[in-house]
Amino acid sequence: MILLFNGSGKPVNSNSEFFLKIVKEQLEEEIKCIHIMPDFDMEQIVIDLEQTDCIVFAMPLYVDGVPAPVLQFMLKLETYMQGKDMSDKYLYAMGNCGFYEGRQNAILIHIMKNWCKKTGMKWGQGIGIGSGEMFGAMREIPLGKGPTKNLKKGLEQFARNIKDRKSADEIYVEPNMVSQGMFLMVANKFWDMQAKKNGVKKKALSHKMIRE
Amino acid sequence: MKLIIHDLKEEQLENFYLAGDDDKIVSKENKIHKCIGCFGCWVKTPGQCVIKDEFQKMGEWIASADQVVIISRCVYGSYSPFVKNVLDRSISYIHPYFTKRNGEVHHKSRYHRQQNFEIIFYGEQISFEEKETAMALTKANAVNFNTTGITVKFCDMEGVTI
Repeated sequence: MILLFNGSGKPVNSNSEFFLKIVKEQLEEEIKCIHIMPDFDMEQIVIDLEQTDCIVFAMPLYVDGVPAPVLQFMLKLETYMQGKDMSDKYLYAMGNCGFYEGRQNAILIHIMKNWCKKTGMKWGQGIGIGSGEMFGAMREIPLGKGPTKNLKKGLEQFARNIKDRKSADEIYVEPNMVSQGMFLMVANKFWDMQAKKNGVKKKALSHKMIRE
Repeated sequence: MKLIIHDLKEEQLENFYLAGDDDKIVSKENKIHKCIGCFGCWVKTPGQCVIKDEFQKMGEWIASADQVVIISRCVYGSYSPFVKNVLDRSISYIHPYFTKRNGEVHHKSRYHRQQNFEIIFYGEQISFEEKETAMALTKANAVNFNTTGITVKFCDMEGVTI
């Protein structure tokens, strides 16, 4: 059984959930997906851990690293795993960020690698998805079309390694056809639209809490 | 005023840092809610978090500080869950707009005023890899929080530099 942990702060419709779904579709075995919540059921997770040889974490990049609730969860798991033989389990980790560059998830992946070493699991692979928010907004486009070509390729490669329980180098994904400059324009427009939706004026986005 | 963010017990703080009378201390004393990734602090109430607890004004507190001091247990090369939670709740300090910095996409600054960050990690056995990760993490934070610079040091559990 493959155990998928979704570390998004959003309860539903998160980008992490979207990317996990793509990976899930490639896997042909029993999968259990768990959303990391502050009040998780540790007893059930212990049962699941005993039945799995493959763990996948997916999460958004928060302040250049792993979101706080995911760290908390990892500490709890480490306590449980201490003194137990975990060497039959592979760990895979997926980070996605709003920034253009997939590589900005590299530190998040390193944190997951350090945790993996502490717990005695085998490191599988990390994937860092850049422009995560943009990809999330394009979820209606058939995967592999237009700017999502690299995304499809990266996630399928990641899924293949999960399937084969293979260790491989990290994958970093950026949209094709969209340059960094184009990204900047489109993404900043996105914030203006979000503000408008909330009845916030464009100028108010730059509001300062102190006078300077 | 210095802003001191730490995850220590109150009586331990002085082993790590001597806080001045006018310094603002952010500690585990108050219960913190997690960031839910709603972007409300950027597009609903720009400059402050929408979650109503003691950490709602983190962005403003960073902006008003002369220096930010972070004392955290080093957890897998990251900050501890509490300190990370405080930082996750602090992104109202920056602007939602993206800009290019060092050739990469980062967020624009909301404030002209920049701070220096002093970061102290502590732990029992911080591995070489964890130190490397922590250095990379703080360096990235320094860019994203548009700081004037950072200093990072590692200590044992008693606050002695290692």
